[in-house]
Amino acid sequence: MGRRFIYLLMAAPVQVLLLAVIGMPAIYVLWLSLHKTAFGQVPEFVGLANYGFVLSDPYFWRAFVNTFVVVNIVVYVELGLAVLMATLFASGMPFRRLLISIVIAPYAVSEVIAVVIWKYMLEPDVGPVSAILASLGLPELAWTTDRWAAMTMVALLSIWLHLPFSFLILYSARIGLPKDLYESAATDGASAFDRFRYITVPLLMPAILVALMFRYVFAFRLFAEVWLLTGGGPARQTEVLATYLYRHAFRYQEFGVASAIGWLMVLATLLIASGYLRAMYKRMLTGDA
Amino acid sequence: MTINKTWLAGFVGIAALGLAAPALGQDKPDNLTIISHRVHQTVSTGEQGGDITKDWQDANGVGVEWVTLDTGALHERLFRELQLPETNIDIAFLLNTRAVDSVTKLLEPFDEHMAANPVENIDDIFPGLRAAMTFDGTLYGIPFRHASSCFHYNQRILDERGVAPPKTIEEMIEAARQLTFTRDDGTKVYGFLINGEGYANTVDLARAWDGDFITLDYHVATTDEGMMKAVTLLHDFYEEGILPSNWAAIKDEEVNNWMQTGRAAMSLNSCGRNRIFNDPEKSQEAGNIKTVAIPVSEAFKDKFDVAPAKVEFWTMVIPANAKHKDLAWDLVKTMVSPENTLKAALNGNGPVRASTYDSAEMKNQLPYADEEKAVLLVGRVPLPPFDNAAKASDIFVEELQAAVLGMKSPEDAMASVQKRVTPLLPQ
Repeated sequence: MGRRFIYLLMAAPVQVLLLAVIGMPAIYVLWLSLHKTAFGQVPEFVGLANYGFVLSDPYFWRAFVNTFVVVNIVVYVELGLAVLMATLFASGMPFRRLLISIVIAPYAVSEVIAVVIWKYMLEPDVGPVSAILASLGLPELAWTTDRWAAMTMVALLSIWLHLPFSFLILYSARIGLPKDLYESAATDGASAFDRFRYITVPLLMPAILVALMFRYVFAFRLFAEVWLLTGGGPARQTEVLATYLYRHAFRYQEFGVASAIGWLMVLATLLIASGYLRAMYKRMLTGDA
Repeated sequence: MTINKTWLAGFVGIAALGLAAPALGQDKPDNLTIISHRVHQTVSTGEQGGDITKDWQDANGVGVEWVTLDTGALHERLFRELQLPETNIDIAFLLNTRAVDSVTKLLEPFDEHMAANPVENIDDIFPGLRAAMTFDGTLYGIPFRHASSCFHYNQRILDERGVAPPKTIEEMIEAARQLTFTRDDGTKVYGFLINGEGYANTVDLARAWDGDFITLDYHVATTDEGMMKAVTLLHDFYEEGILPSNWAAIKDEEVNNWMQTGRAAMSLNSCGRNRIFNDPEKSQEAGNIKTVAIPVSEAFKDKFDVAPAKVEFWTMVIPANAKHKDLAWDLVKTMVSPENTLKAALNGNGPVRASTYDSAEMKNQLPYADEEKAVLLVGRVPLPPFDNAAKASDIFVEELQAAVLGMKSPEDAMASVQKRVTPLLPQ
């Protein structure tokens, strides 16, 4: 009992720190979400009215669908590419260091600059990508007028920006896998695909789950790519949850509504992440691989 | 006994001085704090016109401390300060669109200050600007800087296509068609370009027919003739390729860039953009961009010489919870004197007094000074201040984009704006 108390005491500073920097703001936002307030207004308790407003707002549901679709495309395409590239790079390809530098370079580019670059590349009249599409007889990507073309561009941009994160996690996990397993499998006549299917994927799964969960959480907060590229337009067709929240918080100063949106985003993220958390728990803590 | 009385009198005197000291200190602080955008400090303390606060500081023995922030952060900080029991901010700069009812309740009303220590020749300050800061008959802010819309055209492209500078909006529409073409090297030139993510320049266009988004008496005028003509015109321009296909994603920065590179021939934007368009270091079209007042429709020539375009402006306000309000008022009054308005204008400010435009120095500095003055005499704010102004403008932009891109008819889109915005207005 005495030893247990000392353990708790030693862990207390971290608990206090977590409570202070994560718990308190979250509780304050929860409190705000139950009030109607703006600058110069005394908060007025409104119960669950803010949640009711948000859940009955068609713009919220459009933003939710956009976010859900883009996040799933971004996360799975990105992870697929990261697994393939990690496998390719670990197999000992030439100029590996140079190529790794190129792959992780977008991580050093700020989101604002990335949006400006991509916006220019896909500019209808003078953009180089538009010119290539035109020279191939293909139509321009109508990302300023078509909802799904815009969301495709947002997804491409997001994958380009964040691929290095998934790649670094999976590449470091892949080069840590024991070589003798691959040598034994090769001796037994396993093809390259079999080795990938039966050795690489199962052994990489814990790292894949970690990358998946982190990317889900980060991607759900997708903001700069949409806000800077389309501003949520045309006609609010490309709005995502984070831009919807931003609009209510900082343009309309509806802090109660914005807080409710924030909490709904947290709950949605938790719901999606819970499946992966459960799988991670099973695989990593109980050794049920 | 006598000694005791003397001691007692002395003690009471010292105690009284001690009590009075904080009050005396309040009357004469070391500094007055002004919270503003960086540009306000620059135009108030620039080299060409000099520091407009210096003489006041010397005369009063009080310094001026500038705290500068970006527009959003500035208002957020100000609104937070206004809610405190007391603030260290003595003067704040407030954008006209942020001057809504709920904010003005937290500001010092100026009527008593005006009666006791009036601003010199306040009638010289453009009446539209003063009216926009008057709530229930009480003045809450003194205008300091404005941004008014003008019509910009590239004279070189007009000459190349044999088009005369338009004098009416009808001529401008025809010119936009003639100025849209593809050069031999494949570069396309668009006859007309405005920001596709904002509402203000569409209001400018509607003003050519005396149209409006929301009138100063809070009537949603989007289905009235002026705005309908403007939105239908933009839709037609988009269909005809006079506006670029990515118009809905065009921001002000892109409008600047397209004008500077000769990709757009005509635009509506702040008069002050003339400098950026003609800056030899930034523009390939330096010297070619002319700036005039937005031409009015032939049908409204009897009513206006030029279109009553958008005028947005910054005002100086004093927080109701400020500590040195009389002193702050005196500085506000000094900063907007006719002499200091000219000095600030020479430092690059958009002057709020009509008389400033008549000075020879001003005419030398701004080639479009007369045109801008003409706009200011008839111009008005793009929409009146109210708590839901940001929400209303977002609704307008959403429906405008839908109309221009063909997702809705202009009639349906503007009727939808009217239906959605009306409940947001002050009742």
